[in-house]
Amino acid sequence: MNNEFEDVRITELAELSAERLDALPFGVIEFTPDAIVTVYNATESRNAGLSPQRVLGKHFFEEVAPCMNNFMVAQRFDDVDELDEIIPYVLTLRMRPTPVRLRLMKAQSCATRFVLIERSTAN
Amino acid sequence: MSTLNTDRNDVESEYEALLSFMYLSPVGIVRSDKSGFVDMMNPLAAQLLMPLVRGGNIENIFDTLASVAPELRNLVASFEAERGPVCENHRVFVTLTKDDAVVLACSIIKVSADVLMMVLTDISRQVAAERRARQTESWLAGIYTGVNDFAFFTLDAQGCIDSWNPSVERLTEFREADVIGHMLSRFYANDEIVLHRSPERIALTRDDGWHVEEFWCETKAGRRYWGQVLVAVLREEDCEISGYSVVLRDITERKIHSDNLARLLTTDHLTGVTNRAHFFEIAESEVARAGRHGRALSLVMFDADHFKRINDAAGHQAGDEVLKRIAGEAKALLRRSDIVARLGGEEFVLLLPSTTAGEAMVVAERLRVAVEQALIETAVGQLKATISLGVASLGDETQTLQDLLAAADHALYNAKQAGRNCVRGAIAEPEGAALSVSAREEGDAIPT
Repeated sequence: MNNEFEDVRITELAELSAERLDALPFGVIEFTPDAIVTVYNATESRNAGLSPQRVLGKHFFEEVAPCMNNFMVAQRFDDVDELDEIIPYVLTLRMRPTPVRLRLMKAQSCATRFVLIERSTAN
Repeated sequence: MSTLNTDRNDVESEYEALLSFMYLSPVGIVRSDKSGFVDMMNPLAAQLLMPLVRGGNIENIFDTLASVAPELRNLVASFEAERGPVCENHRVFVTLTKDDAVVLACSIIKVSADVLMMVLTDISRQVAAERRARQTESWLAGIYTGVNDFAFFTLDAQGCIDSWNPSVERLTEFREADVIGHMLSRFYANDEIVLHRSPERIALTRDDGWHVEEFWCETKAGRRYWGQVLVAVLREEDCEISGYSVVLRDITERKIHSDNLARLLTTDHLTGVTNRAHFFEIAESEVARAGRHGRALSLVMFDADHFKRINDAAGHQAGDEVLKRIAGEAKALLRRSDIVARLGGEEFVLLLPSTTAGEAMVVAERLRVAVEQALIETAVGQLKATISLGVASLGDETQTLQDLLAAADHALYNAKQAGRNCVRGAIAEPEGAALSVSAREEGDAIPT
């Protein structure tokens, strides 16, 4: 269970119920190929201080998380068909620079894409 | 009354609305203490800064920007007032190329003794537009300004002067027989010939349709003046180039006024060498020039060994003295056509036109020895420093400025791995390395 952040597969995520997603210890954001947010789980909502109502249906990179709208994250989703990478990153949750790990996931077998966000254990 | 409950909801939703407002702010905002430790920042700041850091650490804003804007730390340190604007729209050149260059504008406000607010804006598009506007402006200036300052004449398709009129004599004192059949270089001051060869200017003109450049000229009697030349292509109806029209004017007075400004914009404030932004401008055109004419060009990247240790042990001011001395040793060693620039932090680069890899290795070694032997005076006593150097040259594998920088960077990395205080080349070239430096100086003196 400890490595759920690293091990969980995109197909599994796509099947999980809203309750199970909310129970995960890391942030989960699911969005469509045109970047419209379809899932914003409770962990992420708590960390970022934004309620799901404010985020669902919005453009993820333009309206929700402009900090990921660069070649390191947003561009990666455009560049390749299959993506499963973990990168160190700094998010500004509630304007506090916070070291995190991002897991970027995209697969041809799955209609939606995921960004998983894990706050570094050091914090 | 249920006002308490309503208030609480209002506060919560107000808080969320404020967060959302900050998340979507289209400029980057960073708050730090006076030594740069970040306390708060918004997502756009992270978006702009993340590409600058490896492994995603933005703890200290000055460290994060050190590789592209080392001057910020000094700007803040030397700002003595209790509060006020430290810098406004200070330009930070993040990427290396002219095309799609990433440029940030940085404003810093000192709010109190230990609080800094920084605003970062991506102005890449604005800078690109300015570059185009500047070109148009100098072209228009060429048309509108009074005709008396000008000499008009034309060149044939090969670049030889093929017409003359009294305006040429009025400005340059050369008569018809002095100039017909000569190249544009007829008008240059002697020491400009190495840098400004007219066939190359002609080639630039052919590519773009017109071209403006400024350089030192000399009249027939030997009076020096700062000349601006505008060359435009003349075409026949079939679009073949039939020749060029040239406007040459004396703008010495304007140059004297703008020299001070130009110095501020093109030199590194600490070391007095070429700054990062200006280096990329020059280097791009030098690489293109060398490529067009199949000439050698080398680049030496170097940095101070264990510089952080020097800063930690002796302080930032002593570190600054070390950087100044390293830059000074490099300047003392170079020819006029060579360029030494500070890329950021403790990292420098030499650009050596018409210099092969072997010759550049010799120059790099001389610089290494010069720095190793220097006794550097600082407020905390004499210091010694060493540098590691990486050399790369134009070749089949390295054709662009990016290639060169990457190859030199890799060689520099090898020098660090080999124990520092040494020179490494991008390619092994045992015979070339044996070339003497005097051969290089000789080669330089040959006019083309």
